[in-house]
Amino acid sequence: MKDSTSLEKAVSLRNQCADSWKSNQLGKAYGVVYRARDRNSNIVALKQIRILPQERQNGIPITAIREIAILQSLRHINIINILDVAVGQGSENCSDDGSERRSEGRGLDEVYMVMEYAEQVADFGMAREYSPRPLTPGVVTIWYRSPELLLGTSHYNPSVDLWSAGLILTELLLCTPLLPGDTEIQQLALIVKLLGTPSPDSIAALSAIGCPDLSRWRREQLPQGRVDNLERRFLSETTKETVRFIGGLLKWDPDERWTAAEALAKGRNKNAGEAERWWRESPREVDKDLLPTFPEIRNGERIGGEMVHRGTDKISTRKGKGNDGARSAKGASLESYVFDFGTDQMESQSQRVTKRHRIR
Amino acid sequence: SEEEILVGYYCGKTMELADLFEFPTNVKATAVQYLKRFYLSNSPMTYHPKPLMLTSLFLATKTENHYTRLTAFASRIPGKKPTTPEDVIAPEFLLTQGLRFTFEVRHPFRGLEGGIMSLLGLAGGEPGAKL
Repeated sequence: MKDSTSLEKAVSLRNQCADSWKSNQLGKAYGVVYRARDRNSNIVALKQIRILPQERQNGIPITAIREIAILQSLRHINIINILDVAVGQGSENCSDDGSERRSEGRGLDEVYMVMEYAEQVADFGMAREYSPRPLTPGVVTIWYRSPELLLGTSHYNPSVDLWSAGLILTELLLCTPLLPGDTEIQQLALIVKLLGTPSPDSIAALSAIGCPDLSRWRREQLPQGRVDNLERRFLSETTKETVRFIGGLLKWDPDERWTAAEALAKGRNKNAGEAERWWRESPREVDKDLLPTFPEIRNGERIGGEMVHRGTDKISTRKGKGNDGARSAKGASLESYVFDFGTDQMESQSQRVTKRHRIR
Repeated sequence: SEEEILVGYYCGKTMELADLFEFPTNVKATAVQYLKRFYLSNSPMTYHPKPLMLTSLFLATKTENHYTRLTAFASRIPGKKPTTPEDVIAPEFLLTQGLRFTFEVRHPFRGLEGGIMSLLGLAGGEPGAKL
């Protein structure tokens, strides 16, 4: 185990970035992520968890503990490994009453998670272990929230993630979010526009899992007789099998939605069979090591060579802009730069987004 | 050594306290593990186990997904002098550092439960049940 002091340099790097840190306050609710170099010159990612005073009434917030505990318990090639947890102290935010608080021994303003620097799933800020206890419905950015969550149920299951996965797939195809709603009602309206009016069976299924807002929504907002537009929307973009795959994930009734295993074509039922046809279709899945990489995106400069992938140009200009901003803010002498998932997204979608939803 | 006996005594006390709150087994076991792990690198001569016992039990409710409100937790702790919420969370940071933020405890309970369930299935003559 690396000891926490290896982070001193990284943390001091953070302090040198104070200016850009301030301009990055937008991403505060999300925690800011830094790229840093540890004592052994390995590049690591630092994720800062800020602990706000109002979150202190229960000690260390349960979300922070869960995020650390869950990341530690997971070992998977697609999930980032957490190397260490370090504690930083004080920041300009606390400098008004700053150092006194530190000497009180409560210097738990910032906790850093040190992680491998890699392209892997890293954000488990909202994760918790699945249990049949009632769960909070107000999770997930509203764009990716499934109908039952939008209707306020607290008895949902992992099928909400399959809904989100379906939407992410469409986003990869379109290079833009498919259903960017501002409010729950608007989000539901967008879903109706895409998938048509839910069938009586789906409505019955939704009411069976106890969606408190369902009846009001049906009475006041639900348009009748809308048809399913999914195929029309996507056939020009992609193949029939892909549309079918997306359709399997975007189902009103959570029980009808494909399970993760089915979507991976594991098992022998009808859904798995349909999913398998999609996986078999060209282009086939590629081993991770054989995927093209785009280091120039990360470095904010082009190394040369041709762009192979169709979508790359779009992405690199988009990301490049974000990096340039961060770079110019803190000068070229530093090797490391600040990036912030929140701002990056804001920038690329600034036309569409008025506000981002995330309920803690 | 004597220190070990003292920690052992408070591990027992932690379990009694967890029973009082009717916490599930995994919370109880995790709290005991936290206490034991903490005293791997610290001495009960430096930090008395009694306040840390409360903290580790409370921390265990958080990590084991059995959320309990701090005020409710503190008010139910028996003792001559009432325990304040601050008493419970004061050593929390110390404890998390002593644990080096390794909150995960792997218990055999879940596997055991699964084993018992498949045994019951086997005994009930469930088709396809296997050990």
